[in-house]
Amino acid sequence: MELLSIFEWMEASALGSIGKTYGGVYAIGQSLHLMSLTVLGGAVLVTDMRLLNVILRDVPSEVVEQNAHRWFRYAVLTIVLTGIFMAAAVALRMYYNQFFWAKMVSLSIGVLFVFCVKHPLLASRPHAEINPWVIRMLACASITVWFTVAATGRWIGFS
Amino acid sequence: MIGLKTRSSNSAKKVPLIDAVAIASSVAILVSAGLFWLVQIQSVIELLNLAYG
Amino acid sequence: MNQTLLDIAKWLESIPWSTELHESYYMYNWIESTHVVSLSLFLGMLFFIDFRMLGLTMTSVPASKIAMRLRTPMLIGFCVMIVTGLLLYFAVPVRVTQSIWFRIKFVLLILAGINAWYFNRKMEKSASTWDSQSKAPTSLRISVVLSLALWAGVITTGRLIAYDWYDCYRVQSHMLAWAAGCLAEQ
Repeated sequence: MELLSIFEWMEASALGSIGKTYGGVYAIGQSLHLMSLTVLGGAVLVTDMRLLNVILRDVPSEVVEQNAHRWFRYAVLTIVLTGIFMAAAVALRMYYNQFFWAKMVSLSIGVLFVFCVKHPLLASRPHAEINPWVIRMLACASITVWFTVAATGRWIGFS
Repeated sequence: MIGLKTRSSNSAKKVPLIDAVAIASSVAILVSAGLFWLVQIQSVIELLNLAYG
Repeated sequence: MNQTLLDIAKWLESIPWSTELHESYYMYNWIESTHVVSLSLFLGMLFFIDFRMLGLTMTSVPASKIAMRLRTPMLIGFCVMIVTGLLLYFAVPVRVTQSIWFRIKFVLLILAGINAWYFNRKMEKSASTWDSQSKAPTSLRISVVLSLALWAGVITTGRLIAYDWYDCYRVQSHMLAWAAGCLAEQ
């Protein structure tokens, strides 16, 4: 099935119609998207700044990472759901927007990285047993990928 | 190397696979994000030069 | 008061940098992006402090420790948001001054600030009695829930500023026109 036809179907769907017809509902969706971005960014920054020994140095990094990851999961779910709603209303515009695709690629990489690499590694054993440089690189890569997701997401609106 | 014994150790010094994957993926993310933003900044500079001379 | 605010906004608009910023190729966009992305730093930290007070995260860590440790990055984020927010206002001062959403956002910001001051005062006085418990006392939890609601309101009204549903040229109700600062001669 061609990607373009999926986007055409999305825009013509009930979800797309609601977003296009009711500006207020669309705006609420955007606000929820922003609020979940805030929680996601907070979870990422709390975890990664702890892993880099910048904040909460007297709190075990295992505790910080475990607790923040729970909120990260909720935030990712909300962001994806509200993102689909927002994209549906302007699906064809998104299809032709380079920043949309940049965001989708970086979002996919970010989600795969956190759920398949970062969190499994950090949950596998005490952090003191992990090479500190591995932890620092994980934290830097995580901050980089989520910053890219947020920035490209905002630039969708400018292009 | 992953899974090979070193000469100097009695027991094998292995880098766990997940650690190796973590390093590789982190490097890949940092390099590709760096290139992406470099390209973006370059195109911004070019456009500003065109616009403002 | 509406006339005074409009006069100040028009004066700001007459400064060449205001128009240059608004019409810049990238500067305005970067300032707005920074404003939005730094939400993660400022409110991200604040939300985690609030979540701890409600017993929703890191309950094994003393609440005051979470509050103190996350305060510095939170304040750094706050400073970035204030600076970028002022620049965004400076770029389009008249429209923003007469935006009902901006006015509501401003009121919510003040209320959130008062609530934060009250919460911090109460927390510092009483923390020794409940610090290691999983949740803060009820009176503080009310303040925390209010904090979350007010900041959710700030985010929402901030997003709505971009919509022109209630701009002066569209407003028909006198009450709304007064609240938004629309003047008859416009």
